[in-house]
Amino acid sequence: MTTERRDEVSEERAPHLLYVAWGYPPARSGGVYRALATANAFAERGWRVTVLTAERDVFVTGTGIDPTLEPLIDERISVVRLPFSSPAYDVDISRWSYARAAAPEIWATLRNRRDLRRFPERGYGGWREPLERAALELHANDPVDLVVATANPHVDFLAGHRLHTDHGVPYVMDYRDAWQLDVFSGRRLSAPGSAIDQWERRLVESAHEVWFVNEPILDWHRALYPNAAARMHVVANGFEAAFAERLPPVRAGRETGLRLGYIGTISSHVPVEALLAGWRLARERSELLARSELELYGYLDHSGIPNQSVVDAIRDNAEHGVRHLGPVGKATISDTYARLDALLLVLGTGKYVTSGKVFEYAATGIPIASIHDPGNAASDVLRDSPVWFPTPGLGPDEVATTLERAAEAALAQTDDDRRAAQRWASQFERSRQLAPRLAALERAVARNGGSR
Amino acid sequence: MTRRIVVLSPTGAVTRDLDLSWAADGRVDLVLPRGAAAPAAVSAHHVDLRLGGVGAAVRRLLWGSAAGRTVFRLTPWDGGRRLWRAVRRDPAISELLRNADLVVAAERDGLFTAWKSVRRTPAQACVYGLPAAAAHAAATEERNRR
Repeated sequence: MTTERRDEVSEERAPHLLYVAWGYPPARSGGVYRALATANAFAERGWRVTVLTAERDVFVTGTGIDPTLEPLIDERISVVRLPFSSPAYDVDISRWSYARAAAPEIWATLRNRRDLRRFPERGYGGWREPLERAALELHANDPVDLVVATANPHVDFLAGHRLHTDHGVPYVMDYRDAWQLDVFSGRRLSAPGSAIDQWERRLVESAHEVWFVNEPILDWHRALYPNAAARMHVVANGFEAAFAERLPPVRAGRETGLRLGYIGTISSHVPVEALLAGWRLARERSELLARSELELYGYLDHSGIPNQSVVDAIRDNAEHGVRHLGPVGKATISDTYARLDALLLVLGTGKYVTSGKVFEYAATGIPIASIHDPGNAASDVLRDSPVWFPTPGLGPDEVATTLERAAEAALAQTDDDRRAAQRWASQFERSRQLAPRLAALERAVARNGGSR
Repeated sequence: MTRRIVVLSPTGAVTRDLDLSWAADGRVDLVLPRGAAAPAAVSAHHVDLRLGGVGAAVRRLLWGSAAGRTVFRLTPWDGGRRLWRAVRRDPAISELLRNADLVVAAERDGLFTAWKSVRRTPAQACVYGLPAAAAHAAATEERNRR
């Protein structure tokens, strides 16, 4: 266990928050922004914050990192990094056995089966013991007033559950997606009575609060756990306040050709083929788009290994002005937005899907072409935006028409239009989403006789 | 600094987006399937990984299900084993692997060959994935600076 203590001088009477996030800077995963912002928000409000996370090497060697994120951790936060081992992140082949090298899938299946006996979460179950041990140790040294854990992985919730069971410490479960619900298909992923179902029920029953990122996901869980309904809250994602300080102006020189862009991880759920089919058709129909480019930014999958079908699709469309320009650091992302004239919100289908990037997209004021199922929860966020162009479907003609409309709006947008769209989106600044819950938690901790 | 790097990409998946900035002035050799294009900055070595008639038929038969894929991967036609056989048949690539400071399995089918290589040459580093390769190169550079 390594501790990065950011601040030697602590306020003795401030309440102590234990924040648990497997993925924390320098991790580059989507949920890391929410984790970073939530822990920072507590620290800004005067809490003493300790973050429990996985050791740095897991991200450096396993998933790739965003080095620009680590300096954004509030200096007052102590970060405790725990050893973590999982087949997906153990990349030093020299330590592998013959069985693992020769039959990696079978080896991983057997290893996962062992981890699942500890906690029913593939790849992460083995983290339960180090996490619980570290939480108990921290509490013994410096009593914890509240635990907030963000999932996935859902094993993160166990630190709070253990402190609650042993010491009565309240805990908050912050779901970025869902455990038993496939947010893309809407299907239930585990059977009633299964190990996952039993664990989630136990965790939700004793949680102080349970957070979800949108109403549809909350509604689904409210139906499953009606007794916990009053403790469930939507804490939507949002864009960072620092991002709002560098919002992009309208780009000069658009008449010679536009730049349409997607920024984000391009996983197998992202309908890249539908986008590119629509793009090719739009370029045949529109002179403006024929002289424009489509720029894709981000990793080509969640792991370090690129998704082959996406690699192929991008290669096959290079002659149509499609370029993949790699990942963008969060701290420098404003420069990338400033290059672009229209944004492409390309998402997997599902009424529970909001995505984190929709808020940042909205904040820019740049025209947005939504290339996703109209029923996605992301549509609810953008419905009143003055610069939103949703596709009615994912057929080539529908996508092409949407791209043409967004491109025309991008060409015509004035500085005043851009600023008006940015003002409209200011409602999605992240601190506005978090503030009501943080205030409620402060009152609850004070009532419980916490340090504050 | 890592000087001699061999990247194994037996499906050619990583070639287009191969970011080699981490390799600095090291020499990078890329092992690819025949016909795959390679970035200009590397020395490409092509190997024949095509499945024969029987192997292709067995693959077609088994590849449709997870259990079938698992069984196929235990056969000699598995992509990882095919790469290892192709590398052994190619003295130039075998030599490159023997002398490499870092062997990178950029994708699943490179794992077995990378593992075999590090067993033969225990002093070399051997990692799975390009992020891991970049991290290794950075750590090596840091060590050399100290």
